[in-house]
Parts: sequence; structure tokens; C-alpha cells
Amino acid sequence: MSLVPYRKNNWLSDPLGELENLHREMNRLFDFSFANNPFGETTLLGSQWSPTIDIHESKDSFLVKADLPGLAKDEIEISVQDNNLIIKGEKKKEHEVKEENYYKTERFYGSFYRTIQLPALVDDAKVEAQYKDGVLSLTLPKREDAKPKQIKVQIK
Amino acid sequence: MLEKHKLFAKNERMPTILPVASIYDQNQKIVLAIEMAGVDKSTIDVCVEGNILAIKAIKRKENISGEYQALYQERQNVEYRRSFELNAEVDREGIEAEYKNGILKLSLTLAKRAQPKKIEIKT
Repeated sequence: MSLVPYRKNNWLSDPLGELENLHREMNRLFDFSFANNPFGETTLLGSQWSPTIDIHESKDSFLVKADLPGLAKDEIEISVQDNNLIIKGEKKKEHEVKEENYYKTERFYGSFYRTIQLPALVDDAKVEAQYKDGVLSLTLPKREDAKPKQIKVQIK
Repeated sequence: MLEKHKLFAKNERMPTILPVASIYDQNQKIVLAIEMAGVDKSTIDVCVEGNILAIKAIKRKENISGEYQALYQERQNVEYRRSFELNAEVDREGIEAEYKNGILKLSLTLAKRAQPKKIEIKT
């Protein structure tokens, strides 16, 4: 008689975890809709892929992080206009590899585009960008007149 | 299950995601380019067991200094996991891995086919 190993997995302690995972993966498949995104104005014209982003705010600046794996610095274009941040570029296939040498590709190649509307005006001359390990980090200092000011209110 | 807990902090739960990959021929090697942006390099684990090449990595978002407040978060902490089945011709010892710009590139070489061995017949 052969012994079958008893597989203790987290079903008992976490019955909904697997469902959550499935839910998340299904959401990813349908992730072209940005209707729920209060900051985004994405246009899908000519691009089927958009980087996922995080936006943080401090008193003086915004910090935006975007996942852009597999790009070179000169393939990413960043521009700022008033309070709009535009990240766009083109993901190119490996330049030394010809089409017929590809076995399989799930990665997206082509142009991408994302507009992010920030809640305050930024100083476009002072924007700093860093690209490391596939993550683009942008620091956007707010314009002086856009910084929160404390106004003392006298109560009579 | 136990090895999973070694990498995670206590009670840390994160979703497991399949990273997307491209496979192509380059310079007589088979290259797997796996997209995993923002991964903590120390957690990348590539191992071959029998015919299976298994890749694991954990993406943890960097700590943002306290002066910042999160306004909008699409990115998540995730565990990337993917396995590939290798055929017998791949040289197990010669697998090279490189993580650059968010892509984990694995280069596989094919072992040279052994010459057919001629067997002498004793008379």
C-alpha cells in the first residue's frame, strides 16, 4: 500500500484567499478600464498597455511611481503641462532578434501612453526622474502658489 | 509552505502573480525574458529540479518617507512565481540569469548532442 502525503495547505485557515487571488487575476485581465481612476485620463488610441502607477503627495511635491519593465531611459518620454503629467514611450522588441526567432511572447510591445492629472500645479522646471529596476520614480515639486498656506482666521 | 514563511514577515499576505515572459533565440541560446518590475533582488530565486525550472521573486514597494501621503495606489506588493518545463537538451549547468531594468533574463544553452557510441561486437 503506498502512502499518499497529507497536503496541508491554507484552505482551512484561508478559504477565501484562493478566491481573492482568482478575483485579482481576473481583474487584471479586464484592466483596460480606467473609469474608476479619479486621476487618470488615459487614451487608448494606439496603445493597449498602460503602466500601473502610485501617486503620493507631500506638502511640497508629488511623488509618482510607474512600473515600466524592460525599457531603456531613452525610450521613455515624460512631459509636464500645468497639472498634467504625461508618460509615454515605445517598448521595442530586442533589436538583435528577428521575428522568426521568437518562440513565444506574452509581453506587450509597442507604444504606451498615460496622462495623470495631479491635484495641484507643478513646477515643470524642477521635475526629477529616476529609472531603476523597471520602476520610474518622478518627483514633481509643487508651484509656490500651489502650496498649502495657512491663513489665520480671526474669530470675532 | 514553510519556505514561504521564511521570506515573509509575520502575517504578511500577498497575492501570487504569474509574470509575463517572452522566449526567443539569440546567439544560439534560448533566452527567457520575464517581466518583474521593482523586485527585491535578494528575493529572486531561480532553481532547476529535474525538468522544471522554477522562478520566484518578491516585489515589495519601497518605503516612502513619512512626509508623503498616498493618494492613489495601483501597484501592489506581489509574489511572482512561474515554472517552465525544460526538454532534455537544455544544459542544466549552463543557465545564466541577469536582472536588469525590471526584466529577469535567463539564458539557456543546449547541450551538445552526444555522439552515438559505437559498440564493438566480440566475435
